[in-house]
Amino acid sequence: MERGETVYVTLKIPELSYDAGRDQAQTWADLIAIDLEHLAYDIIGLTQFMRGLKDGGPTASGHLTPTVLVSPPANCTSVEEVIYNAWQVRQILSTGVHGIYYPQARDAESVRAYVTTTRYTFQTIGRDLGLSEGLRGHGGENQASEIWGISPTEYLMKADPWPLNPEGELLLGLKIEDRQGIANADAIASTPGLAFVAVGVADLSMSLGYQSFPGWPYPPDLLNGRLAAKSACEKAGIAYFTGWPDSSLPHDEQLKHLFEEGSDKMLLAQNREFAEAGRSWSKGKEGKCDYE
Amino acid sequence: MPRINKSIELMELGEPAYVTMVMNELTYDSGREWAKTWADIIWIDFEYNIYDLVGLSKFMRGLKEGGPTASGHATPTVVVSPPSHCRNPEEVYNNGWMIRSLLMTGIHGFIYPQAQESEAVKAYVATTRYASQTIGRDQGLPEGYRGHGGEKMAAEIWRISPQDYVDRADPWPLNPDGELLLGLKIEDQQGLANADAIASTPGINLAIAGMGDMAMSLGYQKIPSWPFPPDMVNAWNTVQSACDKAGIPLHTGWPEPSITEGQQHKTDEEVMKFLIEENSAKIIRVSEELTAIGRKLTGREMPV
Repeated sequence: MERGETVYVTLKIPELSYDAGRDQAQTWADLIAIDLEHLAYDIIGLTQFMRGLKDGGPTASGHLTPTVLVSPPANCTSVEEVIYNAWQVRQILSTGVHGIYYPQARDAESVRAYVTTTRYTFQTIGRDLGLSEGLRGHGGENQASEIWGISPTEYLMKADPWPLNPEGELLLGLKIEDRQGIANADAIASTPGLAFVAVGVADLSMSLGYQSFPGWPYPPDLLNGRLAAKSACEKAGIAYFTGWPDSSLPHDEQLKHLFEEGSDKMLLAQNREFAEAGRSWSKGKEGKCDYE
Repeated sequence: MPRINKSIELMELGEPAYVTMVMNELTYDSGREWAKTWADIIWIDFEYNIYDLVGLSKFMRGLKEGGPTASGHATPTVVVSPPSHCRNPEEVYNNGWMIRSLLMTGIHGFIYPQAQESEAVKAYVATTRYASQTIGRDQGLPEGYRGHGGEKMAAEIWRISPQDYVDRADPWPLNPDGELLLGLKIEDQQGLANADAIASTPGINLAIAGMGDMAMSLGYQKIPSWPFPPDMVNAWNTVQSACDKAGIPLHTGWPEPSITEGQQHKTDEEVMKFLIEENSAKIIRVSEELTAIGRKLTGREMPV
């Protein structure tokens, strides 16, 4: 992201175990997003997965592991929900993951609460921007710092949201996926500490009253929701995390649509071929995907 | 469309459904073993056992792969008690993730511990429902709290399509096509004071009077031995009356807390006659032997 390159994300993790971690250590993806919203909340499995990921590393890029983000099972619908479930974020971060991808953000206050649950109490950057004191304390840094390959003290300094903290190594994002969240999209996306926002169109459609997902092409209210989230990200200067809604198209056509609409910071990749086609395009027009 | 939830099908037939609790470890193999259980409803209690979602997922898969039941259902009905309580809307909403995670494993309902007031129970019902469901919203139920994402795993256990799951994973009989059985426990003085409002909350179709916790709430350091003192009997009768008014079943066993000493030493047949004919019990937790007698008594035709 600092270099202006696209980050390719996979959501497809077979299971949370040490062996699965070793298998994923050389993944084609830059970022692995693990969804504990829709899997069993399995902290033991996640711990073993992260250990396997490290033992199977480093990546060809020289990082100890790919970036790993986790969606907690709690939603971000109210300050209370986030604060009472802060223990989930603390436990998840203690396994050595690199960030959080919070489901169902509804308003900026809840998102500010979310950011504080990821931060150590002594961190001050952004406190003058309306962020409360951090809610992490000592105790989990040993395990996490082992995965990161740094000292526990270094971990305390670096486990803070980027780019709010330029030295930070945590990537914080969220999903807007109901009509309340869409109504507050601008305020949500501009919350200090966030690096990306996605829109969960399936849940959004349910919130808009659709008993079954309408599919692509979206009806106007759903399309407007997607555009509102995307526009909020652009205004806030953060990444809009998305895939192309019509996944039946060939990869290069999906990539063409995405790059043309300006979604080039963080992309959901269905598989290795998708990511490779995108990376090849980004290398320049001499690449194999020439859309000009 | 055939019923997914065996206990709901039995209740629609006017037959009692029989409950047993799973006390062993939750694994794929134990699921396979339980697939042919003599009971109609399996109750898994995470209030007092390790909250093991991974184990429950495996258990449900084993249950399905060891099935179907002789009655033709993919699995017996499985209800779970979450570890959180139902004391106020905040507790229920903030632990809503537990309900979502539990439902994704393909279970068929809940027995929520310690319901204290009807607003908390309405919140509970909302956490089990998809946001797009509308039945009962005009009766004070908040918008549903479930969204897309977990239906695939649950639909596999139910042996239906993900879209069918989204349509049918809704509380019965509030939604006549619903397949979720939502129950709760009234087990303290606060719940007792609100028993009528709790039991009549739309979406609820089962109540349990938790006599152990009730005793503690009434000030007993030790659970009184049967026959119960008058305040315990009153508590039971209050819950029974609330269920009767709301037209929902009260989970019962033997000896039923309200009976007097003279009624204790009945034959097995008399016990089941008392529960089924005099008390009109619909959800019954007794031994396998008494269950067989009960089924014979009502001329049960559905195979187990």
